[in-house]
Amino acid sequence: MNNWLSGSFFRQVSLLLLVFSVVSITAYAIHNFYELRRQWRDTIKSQSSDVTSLIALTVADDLRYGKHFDLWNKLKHFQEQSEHDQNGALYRFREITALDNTGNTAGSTDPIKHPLMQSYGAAPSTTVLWNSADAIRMAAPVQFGGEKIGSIIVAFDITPFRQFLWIHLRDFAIYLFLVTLASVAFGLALARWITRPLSDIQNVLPMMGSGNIALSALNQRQDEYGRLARAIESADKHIQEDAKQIRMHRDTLEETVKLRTNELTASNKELEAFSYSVSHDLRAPLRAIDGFSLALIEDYGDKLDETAASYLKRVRGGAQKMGTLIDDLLQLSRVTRLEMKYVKIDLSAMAEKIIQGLKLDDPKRDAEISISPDLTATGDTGLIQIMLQNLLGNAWKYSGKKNRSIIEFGSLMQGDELVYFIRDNGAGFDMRYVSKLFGAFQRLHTEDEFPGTGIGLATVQRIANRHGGRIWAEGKVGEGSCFYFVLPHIANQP
Amino acid sequence: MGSKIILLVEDNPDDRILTVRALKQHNISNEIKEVKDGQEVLDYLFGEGEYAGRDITIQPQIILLDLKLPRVDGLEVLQRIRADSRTRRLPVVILTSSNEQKDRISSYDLGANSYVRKPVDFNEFIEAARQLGMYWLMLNEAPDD
Ligand SMILES: Nc1ncnc2c1ncn2[C@@H]1O[C@H](COP(=O)(O)OP(=O)(O)OP(=O)(O)O)[C@@H](O)[C@H]1O
Ligand SMILES: [Mg+2]
Repeated sequence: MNNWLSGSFFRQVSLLLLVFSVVSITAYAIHNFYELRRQWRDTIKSQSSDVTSLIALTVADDLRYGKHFDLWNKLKHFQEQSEHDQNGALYRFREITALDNTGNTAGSTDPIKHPLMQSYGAAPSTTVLWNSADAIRMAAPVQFGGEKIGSIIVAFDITPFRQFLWIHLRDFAIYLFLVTLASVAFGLALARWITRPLSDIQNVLPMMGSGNIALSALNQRQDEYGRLARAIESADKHIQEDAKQIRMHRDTLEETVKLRTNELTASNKELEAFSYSVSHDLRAPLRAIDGFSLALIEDYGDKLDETAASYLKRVRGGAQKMGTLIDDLLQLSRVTRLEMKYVKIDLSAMAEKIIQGLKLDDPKRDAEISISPDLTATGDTGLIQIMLQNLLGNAWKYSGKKNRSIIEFGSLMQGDELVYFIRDNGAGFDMRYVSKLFGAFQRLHTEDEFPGTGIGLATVQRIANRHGGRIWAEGKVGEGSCFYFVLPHIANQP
Repeated sequence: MGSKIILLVEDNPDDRILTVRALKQHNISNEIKEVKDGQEVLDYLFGEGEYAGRDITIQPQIILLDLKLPRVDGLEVLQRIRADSRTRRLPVVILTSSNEQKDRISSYDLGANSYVRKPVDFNEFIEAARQLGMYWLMLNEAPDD
């Protein structure tokens, strides 16, 4: 019930109207009925008392002189006359009785006299003796020469009045019913009229943004509904317009992304194929150059003079250097291509191992290495390994000419960012060329000073970038350098 | 245990010469059968085509297989070898030309037994042979060193 009621504004309004109209009309009807009855009774009482007094006046003479026959005739005449409706009065005499001062009946239209009459024989003025649903009995004194000589008692039959009242009541009930019906109908119509536009509006709202909303039943109205309807229609148009724009942008964006992705995939594939053929095809002639030079040295060494042998060694050196170059280049391209797998990495342990490897290759080096414990990061193990290998390798290489290499790997907070650094006391570099440091094949030292291909830091920078990080460097010629890098913490990766 | 043929599958003549030389230099005196493309290996192994009528009960002890071969490429050769019951168990060592290539190959499960970098890094070759339980291949012929 509660749900049924609260479910619809229309139901609430109609129920309210129904209850209100029934209650108010019923209350009015009841009040009206009782008022009518009271008025009628008052009218009847005053009319009947007038009539009673009139009769008393008329028969005074007869009663005084004992003209009983005349008296009786008059009473009968009154009674007969009252059979007819007089001036719209709805009463009828049931009986008329005249009493003398002693209480004896002087004359009556009723052969059997009512016993109650005796006791009212001496009524001093016109009085209601008895009032029932169908009769009123009235008494009036009869006076002669200022002296009371008896009384007249009239019983009025008021059943016609009752009938009249009942008819009136029936009419009223019908009227009440019709009014209730009308008011309910009106209430329902009113509720409909108020709520109908609401449900019309509700029905079109799901189409919001389609541009098809037309509240033709409402939009011409000048009232709140009309304004609301027009506002909704224009909002619909606007939303449709905006949605169209957005869709257009999205479509172009999607297309662009698709295009770029295709391009990227294609260029990646191309790169892959290129790397493959580089690794395969470029190496074949290199192998021949190196292999046959070696064969010459080994198999015909005795037939070659020293210069020829050293030339052949240079040929081999060149071929091998080119082999390294190819390997480095391939690694550089692989760093960008390979798929990354994020894991938590113990940087301290990784660095420790790399340093061990470096020491193994160069056991005579006097080196002071300090690696902060508990350095960790999230990243791709293979790539981070290449990164640290290059940075520590550089620190090792470029501090090789010092009496004692000092290399430090640690971290510091810069703002709220964790910055790792690898510092050495090596050859350092001129800060004017710092921007060239990370370019492929860019070197700040000659091959004679320090050998290398100049591709290590380019690789390192790509690795940092792929992790969404950064790398930068500081250096001072002859004093050493420091390389800083940031690897953003990727919380949602394990 | 039958022949001690080493089957060298290599299309590049330079690499063939250098490989043979490297093996010889290390005193491996096994017969080395050289074939130049993928189809030829298969014909040789299964006694078909130009090798029709060859006694195929005599199979090589080890196959050194290049991947980039004319006609039928190395990967397919390997698959065919592994698919045939007569050759399924033959040890195959892949000849790679770079680390890159080696990575690429190892990511597939090809059924290769080992990898050796061209033109036969002798240390790698010894290691591969050792892993394959073919030490004897070298030991029989190689003088002590
Ligand atoms: N720790 C360092 N101290 C001084 N100079 C450095 C240091 N690290 C790098 N550099 C300079 O930056 C240049 C580029 O370094 P990068 O590592 O890219 O190449 P490389 O070390 O010369 O060769 P490779 O590719 O073999 O690493 C180097 O040639 C060197 O001049
Ligand atoms: Mg370097």
